[in-house]
Amino acid sequence: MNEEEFGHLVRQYSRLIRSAVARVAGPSAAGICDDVEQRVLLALWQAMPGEQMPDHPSSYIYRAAVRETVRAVQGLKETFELGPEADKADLSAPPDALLQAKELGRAIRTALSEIGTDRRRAVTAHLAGYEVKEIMVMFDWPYHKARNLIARGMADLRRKLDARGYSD
Amino acid sequence: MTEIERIRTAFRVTDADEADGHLSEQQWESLACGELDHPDHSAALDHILGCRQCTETHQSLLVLREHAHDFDPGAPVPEITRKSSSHRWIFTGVLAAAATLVVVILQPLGPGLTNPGSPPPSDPALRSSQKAQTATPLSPIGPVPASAVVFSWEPSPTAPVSIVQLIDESGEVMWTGHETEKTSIEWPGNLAKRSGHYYWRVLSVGGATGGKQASDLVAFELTESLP
Repeated sequence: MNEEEFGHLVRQYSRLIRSAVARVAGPSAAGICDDVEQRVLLALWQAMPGEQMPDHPSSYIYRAAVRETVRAVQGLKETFELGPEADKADLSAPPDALLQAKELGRAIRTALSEIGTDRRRAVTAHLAGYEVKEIMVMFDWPYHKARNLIARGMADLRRKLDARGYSD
Repeated sequence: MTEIERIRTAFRVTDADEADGHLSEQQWESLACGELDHPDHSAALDHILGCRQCTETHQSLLVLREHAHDFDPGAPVPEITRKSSSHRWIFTGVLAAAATLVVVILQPLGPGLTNPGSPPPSDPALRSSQKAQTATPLSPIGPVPASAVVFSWEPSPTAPVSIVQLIDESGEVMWTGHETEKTSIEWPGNLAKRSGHYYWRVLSVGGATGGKQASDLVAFELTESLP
């Protein structure tokens, strides 16, 4: 692989990491994602070991891309003083609404701790925003099992919340 | 705000008691490359699901994992693709096995053939209560010339309205007929008769349950192509 090809690969990874970060930063963070893309581009070039271009840098650069993605997401708050959508919702919500949400959130966490392991994992992932196909991969479940665990786990959760008086 | 949005928002504003023990960069790298052993993998996922910060990091890495292989052959094949592909094969295998079983069971008991000492195949005593409500595909079964293919079946005794479904070799439904009270229909006019393996079944509409009861799946092979 020559330097031009390597540069092309790095640019593709930078764009992909930009999309990956955008998933959690939200659509309003386009400018921030531009900055992330530039930083990642630079970091991937700098991560090249020595002056010698490896023959097959792909798996090396994929690993570097993983590290840069982790750093970019974890650095969102610190670097740009911006959190994900949920955080922004927190700040704009009236204090009593936030208090109620936190109370319900604690009840949800308690209820989840009382249901079976697989259903708990399925529902937790569902509430955290994972898609069904991602949940399948995470736990090595076939499609129908993942769907059923989410549906039954959500029914369990609703019953337990009803029993605690969170029925509206 | 819908109920699920309210639950999701409330869930996200409270972190579980697992704020400690975040994954290290090395662990993230191992997870993203599919290199964690089962116990470590499970422990990592349990932490990730209980920690919003790690959930976000993980969701970003899933985007990376899903698309990096599109332009970089050295990146791991996305697990989603691998899983879909393997499930497709499993599904095809299950279909083939089910179809083989149906052929084995139905062929000796088909029309015109009797099995001395056994009740006729339509005898309700041979079937479970649920199977008693389904139709019985009669033909095509096995190799059939394209010019002679006609779908015929014995309707459900409790639900005379039927729908025929034609399924291709990979398990995709390629055609679903209209509701009919007939017991045989021609090959759909808008589908070319291409040689190859197919499956079909009959959905019985209504009946005691009020829903659609699917018959067993039957395999057949068109031995020639016709436009």
